[in-house]
Amino acid sequence: MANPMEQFEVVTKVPLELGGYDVSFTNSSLWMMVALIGVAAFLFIGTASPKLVPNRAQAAVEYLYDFVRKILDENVGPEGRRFVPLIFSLFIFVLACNLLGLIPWVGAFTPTSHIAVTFGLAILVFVIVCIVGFARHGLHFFSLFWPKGVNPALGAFVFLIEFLSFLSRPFTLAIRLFANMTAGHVLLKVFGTFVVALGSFGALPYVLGVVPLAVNVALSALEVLIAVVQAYVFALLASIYLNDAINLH
Amino acid sequence: MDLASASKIAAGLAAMGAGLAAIGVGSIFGQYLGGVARNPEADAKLGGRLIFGFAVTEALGLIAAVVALALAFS
Repeated sequence: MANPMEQFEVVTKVPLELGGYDVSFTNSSLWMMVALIGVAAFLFIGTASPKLVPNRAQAAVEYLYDFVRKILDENVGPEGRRFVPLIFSLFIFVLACNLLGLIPWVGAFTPTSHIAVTFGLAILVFVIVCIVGFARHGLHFFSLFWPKGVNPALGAFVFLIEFLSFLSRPFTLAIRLFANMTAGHVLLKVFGTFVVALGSFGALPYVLGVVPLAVNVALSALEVLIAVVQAYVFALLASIYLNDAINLH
Repeated sequence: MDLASASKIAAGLAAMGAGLAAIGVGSIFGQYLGGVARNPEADAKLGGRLIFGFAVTEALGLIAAVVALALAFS
């Protein structure tokens, strides 16, 4: 069986170096740029000639914007409006990167299947949450972890546990996204090798290969759903963490 | 036992974590169906939380799966 982990290999296209650091242009950078161009094209075309009664492209952009705005309204409240650009950028970038890896035949690469990319995004969210929390509440921010109405000994224990779980937030955010993308694409590749294996059955070539191919089609549909759901969960969790920082429960 | 065989056996053991996550995911959807069956209007309110709960539970199962894959193909 061919190695299904080879599809995640980062291949350098244009070697570049900056002050001793390797900043080469890789296939990961290429596909992140494709995601950026796709998102920019979608948004520019949608808002090109805005009308009160929107045409289809504008309605699509408005739907996405409303979706993100509702996430922030429900989870943060009126103070969440200033974070809509952040959550919208995260949501649509993660969505585009997740979906691009599902395009067959063009050698597509999923940028968010690497822990480096998803951890970068998660650390961005975590640092912004900390900055917002400390700027708004100062050291009172630590009252987020103190449980109310318990005696101090148990409270100290719960404080420690809550603090550790707060520190683990960027890690769970990153690993959730990267593991979903990696596992999904590995599954698709494994069923692809089954198609070849069953299709090369000497006595009855190609016919038996249709069964794993049908499973692969169903799995691709599932992967599209998971790509959208994981982008939504990333944005939703980022806004929940922002709510913790802004409203302190 | 050499390292290659041990890592293959470890990969098989790690993949059992996915079965435990399957119990969790089934429980979430079962509770959602039970709630919506009693009160169909709750579908609008619970829908978002359903997807969220599914994603966070699935994440733990996929962590087990990624550990298994890393061991199987390292």
